Amino acid sequence: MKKLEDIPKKDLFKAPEGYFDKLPGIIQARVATPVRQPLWLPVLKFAAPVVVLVVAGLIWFSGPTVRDIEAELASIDTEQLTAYLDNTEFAWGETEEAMDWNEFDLLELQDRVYSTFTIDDTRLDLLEDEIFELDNF
Amino acid sequence: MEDKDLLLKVRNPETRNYGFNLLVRAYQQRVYNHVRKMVIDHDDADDVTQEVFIKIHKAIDGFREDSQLFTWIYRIATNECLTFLNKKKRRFFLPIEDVAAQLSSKLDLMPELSGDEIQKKLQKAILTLPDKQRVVFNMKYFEELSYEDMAEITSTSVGALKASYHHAVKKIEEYLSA
Repeated sequence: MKKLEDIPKKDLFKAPEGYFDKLPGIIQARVATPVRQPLWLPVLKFAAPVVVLVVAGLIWFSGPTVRDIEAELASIDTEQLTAYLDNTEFAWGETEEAMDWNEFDLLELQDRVYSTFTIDDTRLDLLEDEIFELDNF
Repeated sequence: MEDKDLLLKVRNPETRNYGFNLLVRAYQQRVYNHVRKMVIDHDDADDVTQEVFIKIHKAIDGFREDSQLFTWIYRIATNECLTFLNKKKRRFFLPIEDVAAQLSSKLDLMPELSGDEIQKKLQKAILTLPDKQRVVFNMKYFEELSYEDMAEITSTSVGALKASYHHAVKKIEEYLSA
């Protein structure tokens, strides 16, 4: 068996000429202190998500959580509403289903009518007749 | 310059760059030779050596001087070599034998080995060893480190290192005799 001690030890792996003169410079360049960041930059990193959260929170808490349909409807001009209704083919069947009039609704309607208009006796009689008809609808 | 003075210079913010440059100059050849024997190719050895010193630069403030500076540096170099070889295996889905064959074919292309068949055969025999055993063999046979220093570098007991080296020598001699 061939013995290891019979083989002369040789340093076979030689670096190219001048390699060790250049290497410290290359390494020094790689570890050189990176360009200093402005002091506020790390703060900004954490501040940005906080600002986003605060803005989102403000929007969430200050904005209308449920759309106020009545308020939106009230903001529409009566003329516009009338024009819309005139130009819309109304399916009365759907409306009837949607309307679930009861005694209290009618009374409320009556109150509104009286409180909204200043009307003479003749028109008042006519309105009362209409209300009577609605009562017996 | 002694390691203690080197460390003082590296740890002083005013002399850090100068101190680190001195450290690189003091250890670059040993690190390169240690790495080169493991990865064989010069370009790979260059990459790994640079990575070793970058790791040293990052970690030097945490070096507590429980061990000698050179064993600490060797430890980083050894880990980098093993990581590099493992990555090579994973990247190309190669079994250990194929990496050894790849490294072995690089030996054939080395002009330093042309005409020196016995040295080439010895290097090929070393490449048949598992990576960790190869580290042990190289440190003992070529670099002539003590088992105690090797134990610090590899975090292995002296007994285990002796056994590993003994087995490595046996395998190499069998290969040489074949």
